[in-house]
Amino acid sequence: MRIIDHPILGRIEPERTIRIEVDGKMIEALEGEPIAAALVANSMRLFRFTKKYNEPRGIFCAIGRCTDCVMVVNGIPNTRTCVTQVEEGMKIETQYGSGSIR
Amino acid sequence: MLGKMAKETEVVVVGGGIIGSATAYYLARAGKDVVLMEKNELASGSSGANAGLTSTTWCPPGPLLQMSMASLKEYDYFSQELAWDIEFERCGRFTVCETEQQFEEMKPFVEVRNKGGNSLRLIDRNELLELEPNLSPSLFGAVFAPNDGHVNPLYAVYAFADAARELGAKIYEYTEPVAINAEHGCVKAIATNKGEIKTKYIINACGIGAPVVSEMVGLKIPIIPNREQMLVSEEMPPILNRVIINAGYMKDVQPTGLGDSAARKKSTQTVGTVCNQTKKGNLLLVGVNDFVGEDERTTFESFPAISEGILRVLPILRTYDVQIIRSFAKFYIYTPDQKPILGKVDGLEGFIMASGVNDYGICFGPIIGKLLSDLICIGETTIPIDEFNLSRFG
Repeated sequence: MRIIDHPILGRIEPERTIRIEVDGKMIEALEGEPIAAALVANSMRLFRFTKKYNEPRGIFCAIGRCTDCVMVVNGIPNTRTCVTQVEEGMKIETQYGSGSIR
Repeated sequence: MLGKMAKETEVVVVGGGIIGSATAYYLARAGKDVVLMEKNELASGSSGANAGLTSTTWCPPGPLLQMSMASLKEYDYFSQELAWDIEFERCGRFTVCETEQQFEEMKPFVEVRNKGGNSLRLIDRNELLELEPNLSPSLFGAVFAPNDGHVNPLYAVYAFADAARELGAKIYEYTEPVAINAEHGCVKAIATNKGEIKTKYIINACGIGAPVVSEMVGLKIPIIPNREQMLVSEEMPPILNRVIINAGYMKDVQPTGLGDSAARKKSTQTVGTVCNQTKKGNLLLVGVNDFVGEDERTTFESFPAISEGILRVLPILRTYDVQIIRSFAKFYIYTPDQKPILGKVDGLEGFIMASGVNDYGICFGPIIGKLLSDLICIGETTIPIDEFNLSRFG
């Protein structure tokens, strides 16, 4: 479920579908939408686990300020999925703690 | 502070930073009645705004090197002993050489210090990249100090203060001296904004505030505040095993012990590269140094200035789009000869200096506390501190 026609932001046009990979699974996303929107539209709500107590996190502020929604995107941890647009073939992974590099 | 302030004690330590809290701890442990007073909150000065580095690398042979090595041993002990996890780790330090010339200059640097008792190693680029793979391959090599370390300076202050309190020390925040009463050349009492405390000893452990306290007894302290700005990154996964500092910064800011201390006073601004990853994962990125009196504001220009140097040494930070979340600034407490001001003062029995720690306060806190506690309790110190006496300034 996603908002295609917004009263203020207008309509998503053109509605081009692309495919992105999330934890090894291919899902459909609309070109240009934030990663978080694509995940929610595919009923994926759990984005990461916190460092200290391994608690689940997903969308909170949705405006790029709280870092609740960060995931590992194309290998880069701490990427804010609510303000990062999807791209064809993007690889998104659940982040555990601060993630890892390499 | 609950209840009334103490009216009498044996030692008043003025200044609630690493020096003050450590000194209060050692004195309390030795059985002395101690009052620690701080004009704001504990660790609200330089002790709470630095990169938490504890290093022996820069120390010239002699008492400074002995003190830094002994202080690290004290930190070893305390990382087990104190109720707080002060996050002390002997992670090691790389003083990286960005030019071939710097690499050559480090040869005598290492030799002199190892003769004095340190165990530094000059390593080449290959070994450096093997030990620290995320460093830039453009570096020529580094001085490797496997036993240098880092600590959480805030936790260290709180831990020493809590331990001192447990041992009977009284700690008063928002309390500052307004006058010092002496009779016949002996300290008698210290008057504060909250009342007077009769005392035999007063230890001046204020950072850049040390001259204010010394003025109360007519002493001039030649301290020059040097503002250091640093950046803090978002929490990162482990990127660094050790503390990284560039050799150029160290020569400008810290004494080489090879006679080139004049360089530091000539430059009004120094930009260096230090990177320290905390236990939590944030990167502390240092820094820009300025002589701006007591202006502790951060500047916008410090962001690109510090970032440029850091990215030269750790280009991986660009690859991973690392974000800076804040910056802060506080003061180094420079003395004209880069040596601390410690010990008794001429003409006033009971007044003891514990300041002028330049840029090594966090490292030297514990050992200064121990030495001054010994000075008061048994009249002598295991490491000679005569060359750090205030009287050397005439």
